[in-house]
Amino acid sequence: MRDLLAKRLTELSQSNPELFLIYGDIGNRLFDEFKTKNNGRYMNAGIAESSMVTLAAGMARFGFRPIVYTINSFLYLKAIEQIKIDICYPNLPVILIGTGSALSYSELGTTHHSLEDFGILSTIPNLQLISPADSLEVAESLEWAINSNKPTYIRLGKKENLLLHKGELGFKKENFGPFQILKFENASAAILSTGAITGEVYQAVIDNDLNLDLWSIPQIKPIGEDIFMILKQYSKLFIIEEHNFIGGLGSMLAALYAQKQVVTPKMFFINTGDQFHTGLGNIGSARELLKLDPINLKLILKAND
Amino acid sequence: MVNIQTSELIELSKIIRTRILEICHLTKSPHLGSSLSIVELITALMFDVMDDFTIDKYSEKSDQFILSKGHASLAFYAALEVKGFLENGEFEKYGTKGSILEEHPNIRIPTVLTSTGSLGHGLAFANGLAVANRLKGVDARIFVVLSDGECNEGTIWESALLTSAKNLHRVVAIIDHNKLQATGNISETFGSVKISNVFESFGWESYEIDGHNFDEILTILTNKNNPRPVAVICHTIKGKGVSFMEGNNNWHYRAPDVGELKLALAEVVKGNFVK
Repeated sequence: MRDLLAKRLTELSQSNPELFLIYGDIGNRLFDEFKTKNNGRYMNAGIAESSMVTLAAGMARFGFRPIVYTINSFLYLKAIEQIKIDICYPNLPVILIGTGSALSYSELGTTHHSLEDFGILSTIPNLQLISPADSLEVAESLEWAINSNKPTYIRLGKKENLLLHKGELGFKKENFGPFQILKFENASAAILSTGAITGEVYQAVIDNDLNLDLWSIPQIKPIGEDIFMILKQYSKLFIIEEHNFIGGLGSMLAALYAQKQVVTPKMFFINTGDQFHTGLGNIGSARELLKLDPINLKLILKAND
Repeated sequence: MVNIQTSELIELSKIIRTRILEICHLTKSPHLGSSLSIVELITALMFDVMDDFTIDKYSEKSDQFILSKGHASLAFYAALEVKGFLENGEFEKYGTKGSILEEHPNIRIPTVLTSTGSLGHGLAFANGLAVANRLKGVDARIFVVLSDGECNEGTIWESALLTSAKNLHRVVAIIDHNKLQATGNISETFGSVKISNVFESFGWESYEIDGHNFDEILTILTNKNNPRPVAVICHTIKGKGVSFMEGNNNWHYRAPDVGELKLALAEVVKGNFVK
C-alpha cells in the first residue's frame, strides 16, 4: 500500500505544484523519488503530530495542498483538536494519511492500534474518511482526495496487502465511489468489508467457496446515497471491519438504514469489539481476531444462513 | 510601516481602551483584563508596524496578524473597528445572536486567517503561513500574539522548536507576559523559569520589553532584518489603564457596572498611565 501511495503521490506532484509533503519522522526512503523530483516541497516536521497538522492548515490557507503522513494512531488521536478546528472548521484541503492503521501494527502493541478512528473522525463535519482495501484503492483515493479539494483522512494498512482489483476502478470525479465489487455472484447475501483486512476476507471467501457477494467499502464518509439501491438485493449483510463496533462502518450503516426507514436487511457485525487487544503477536492476528480463519468464518456464515 | 508619531499611537490606544470597556460593560462579557494588557501591542502592530495590513485577509504579500490568545478579542475587535474594518454597529453586537463577532475570533471576521480560542494553535499556524510564504518568495512577516499562560501548552513548544529548526525567521511571537493566568499567578505553572530564556534556548532571538511603552515596542518590532525568529516577551499589567483593575485577577471574568465604567473611562481619557 505504502509503495504505490508514494509512487502515485510522486506522479501527482508533477501536475499539482501546490502539493507539499509533511511527514512525522517516518517513511524512511519511502519518499525518496518524491524528494528527488520535488526539491523543497517536503518537510520532516518531527515527532510532533499536533503542531504538524496546524502547520498544514497554515500552508493550505495560503494555497498549498499539504499531505500529512505519519503513524495512524498518533495522527488522529494526538492532533484531534487541530484536525477539528484548524482543518475541518475552515474546510481546508489537507490530506491526512495514517499508516499502520487498525491492527496492521498489531505486533507493536496496543499503543499502536487504531480501532476508533471512524467513530471519532466521523463526528467531525467536512472531513472525508477513506479506508482503502488495496494499493489500487489507495492510489485512486489519493487522486480523488486531491481533486475533491476537501479535508480528507486516509487510513493505510500494511504494505503486503493483496492486490484485489484488476485495472481501473472507474471512480467518478465527484464521488470516489463508496462501493467496489470484488466478487459478484448475484447472491442473496453479501459481505461488506473495509480497509486492509479486506484482502484476508477475500481469501477466506475464496478458500471456503462461499456463495456470497463481496464488496469493498473504501469511502466511509460521506457514504453515498446509492447505497440503498445497491444493497437492496441482499437479505443479509455481513459487515467486517477492523474497528470497534461503536462508531464503526456497521453501526453507521445500521443508523443510516434506521434513519432512511427503508427495508433493512438482516445485518451481522464482525469487528474488533469494544475492548483493548493485547498480546496479538504478529500480523496474522487481525485475521484471527475477526474469526476469518476458514473454519470459523464458515461456521459464522452457516449459522446465519 | 506607517511611521506615525508615538503621540498618535497613545491617542489611538485611548480610543481602543475606551471601546473595550464600553463593549465589555454593554455585553457583560469576560476577559477584560486580558484585553487591556495588549492594547499598546495591538495598537502598535496594526497602526504602525505591520506592512500593508488590509481588510483583505488573502493578501499574502501583507504582514499577517494572529491573535493566538483569542480570548482577548475585545482588544482585537476594538482595533479592527478603529481601523474601519468592521461594519458600523457591529462591535455593539459582540457575542450576541447572529453577530460574526463571537467572543473568540473566527474566520468570518475581517483579517482573521484561523479561528482561535483554544490556546496553543497560533504559533503552529504561523509556521504554516511562513513556510508557504517562503516557498512563494513572499517576505512578509507573521505576528502572533500569545499569552504567557498559553505557554503552558505543549504545542507552543513543538511549534517553537520547528520555527527555529526550519529558520522561519519571518515569524514574530509576541508574548503578553501579564503574569496572571485565569486562576492564579504564572509562577504556579512556570516556577522560576523565564519564558525569554526558553525561547532563546530554542534558537530564537529573544527580547524583554515593557509592553505598554510604544518606544520600546517600536524599537524591537520595526527591525525587519532579524536572521532568526523573534520572540518578544512583553511585560504587561493585566487590566492596564484602570487603577482598580490593574493586577486584579477578578477582572479576568468580571465586567464593569455603570459606576465602574464611568470611573474607568475617566482614567483612560486622562491617560496618565502611559509612560
